[in-house]
Amino acid sequence: MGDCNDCIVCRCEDVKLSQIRQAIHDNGAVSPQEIKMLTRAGMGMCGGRVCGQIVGRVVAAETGIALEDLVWTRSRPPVRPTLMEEVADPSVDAIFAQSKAQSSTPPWMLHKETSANTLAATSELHVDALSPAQEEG
Amino acid sequence: METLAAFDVVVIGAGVTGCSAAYHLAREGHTVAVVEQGIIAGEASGRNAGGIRQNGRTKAELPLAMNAVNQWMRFRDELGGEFEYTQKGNLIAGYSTEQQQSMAKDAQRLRDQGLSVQHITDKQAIKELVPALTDQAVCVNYVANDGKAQPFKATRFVAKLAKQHGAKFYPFTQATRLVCTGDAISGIETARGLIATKSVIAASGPWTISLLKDIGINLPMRVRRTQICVTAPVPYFLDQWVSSGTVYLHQTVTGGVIIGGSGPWEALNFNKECTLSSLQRFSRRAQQALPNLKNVRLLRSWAGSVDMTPDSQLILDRIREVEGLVICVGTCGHGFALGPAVGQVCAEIATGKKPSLPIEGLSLYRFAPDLDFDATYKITPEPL
Repeated sequence: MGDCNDCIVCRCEDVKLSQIRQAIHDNGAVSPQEIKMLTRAGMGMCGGRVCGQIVGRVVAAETGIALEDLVWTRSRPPVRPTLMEEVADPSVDAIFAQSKAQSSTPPWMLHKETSANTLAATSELHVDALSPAQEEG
Repeated sequence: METLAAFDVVVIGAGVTGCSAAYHLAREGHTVAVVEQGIIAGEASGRNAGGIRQNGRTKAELPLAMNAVNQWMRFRDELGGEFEYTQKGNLIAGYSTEQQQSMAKDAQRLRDQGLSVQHITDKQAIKELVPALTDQAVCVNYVANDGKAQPFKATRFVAKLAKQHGAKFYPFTQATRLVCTGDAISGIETARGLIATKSVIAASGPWTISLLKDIGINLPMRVRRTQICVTAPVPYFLDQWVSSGTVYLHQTVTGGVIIGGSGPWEALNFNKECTLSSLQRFSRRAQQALPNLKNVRLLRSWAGSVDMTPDSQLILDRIREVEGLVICVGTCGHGFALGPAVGQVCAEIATGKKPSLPIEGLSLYRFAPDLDFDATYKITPEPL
C-alpha cells in the first residue's frame, strides 16, 4: 500500500487514505460498511462507484480479512442523484407500483455467514480473544 | 461446551443501549463483556436518523429522554466526544385546528413534567423560528435544547468509553442461548463458547425475542422496517429537526437533508431493502413541509430494523421468572436518543441498585401475558 497517506480515496467526500486507516486502527472498523459510516467514503454523489472497491481493498490489506469475507456496503435506490420533484411526480406512480420490495439476504445473515473467517482474521487485531486466562481478570 | 471466560455482567447487543450499560457498569468497577452478532452499532443504533429529542415523549419515556440529553451533552462537552451533536431545537408542525388543540394539550402535559416546551401559534413567530417551513403550518411545538447527532459515531464513542473503563467487546459473536441453573442465569452460550455470568442484560433489539422464547418468556414485540433517505448537500438553511405528518426532516452538518419516517404500512419482518414508494412519499411530504426542497436531488436511501411494542414504548425491566436477567428492548425507534439513560438504568438494576430514574411505566408486565401483537397490528396503505 506504500506510504501514500495523503492519497484521496473518495473524491466526492474528500476522504484520504489516512482517514480510512485511522478508522481501522483507532475505531476498530473491520468492514467497508463501518468505513463508510465513520468517514463518509462512498456517501457522496457517485455513491461509491469510484472508491468502493478501493476501500474494500484497504480494509482487506490492513486487517488481513479476505475480500470475499468483508461486510460490504450495498446499492440502494436512487442509484443516481434524482430530483425530488421528479420522484414526487404522479407520472412515475405506475413505474413505482411495479417495484415491490424485494427480499434478499439481509446483512445480519451475512455477518453470520462470514463470522468464522472474519474472526479468525481479526482475532489479534480487533477482537479481544476470549481465552480461559481472562477468567482471572 | 468449554467455559471461555467469566464476567460479573454480560451484555447482549452492542447497540447504544448495550454500549451505555457496559460503560456505566465498567466505570463502577464491574467486569463486563458485550457480545454482538455483527459489528458495533451496525443495526438501528448506527443507522437511525440521529434525533435526540424530548419533545413529544410519552409520560413514561420523558424522564429518560431528559436524562439522556444531559448525558449526551456530557459525552460531548466533558469527555470530548465528536459525533456531530448539535442542539438547535426540535419542532413538531401542526396543520389543522384539531391538531393544534391536541398539540396545545401535549405541550402542557410535557411542561407539567418539567420540560421547557413552547406551543407557538403566531404565524410570524413560526416564520422567524424556521423560515423554510411551509406557511400551511398553523402551530408548532418547540423544544430548544433538543437536537441531533451522527448516530454511528455517537454509539461508537459510547463503546469507546466503555472500553476505556475496561469493558470487553466481542463483535461477530452471536449469543445463541441463555443458560439457566434452576431459576437463575448461570451463563450464556455464544457462537464461540460458553461465558459464565450470573447477570445478563439483553439489549439485542428484535433478536431478543427468540433468545427469551427459548426460556419460556414471550416478548410482545415485533420487528419492522424504517426507511430513511438523504439529499445531495445544499447550502445550510435548517437549524431544527422538523416533524411534519408522516415524515421528519433535518439538515446534517455536511449539508444533506435527511428525510425519514415509518408507519403501519411497513410489514413486520427483517427486510431492510428500500422501496421506491417510500422515496416518493418522502419527496412529496418533504416538499410540502419545506417547499424549497423542490429542486434538490435525492442521493441515498437506507433502512433499519426497529423493534416495536403494542403501545410504542420500550420495555425496561427485570425478568421476574428468571434471576439475573434484565431486558431493555422494544425501543420503537427511540433507542438511540434514550441510550445513555436506559443503559444507566440497566446497569443499576443488574447490580442490585434501585433505579435512579422512574421506569414503572415501562415494565414488561404492563402487557397481558397472552397478548397477540400480530392480531393488534393492522397494515394500512402508505400515505403517499
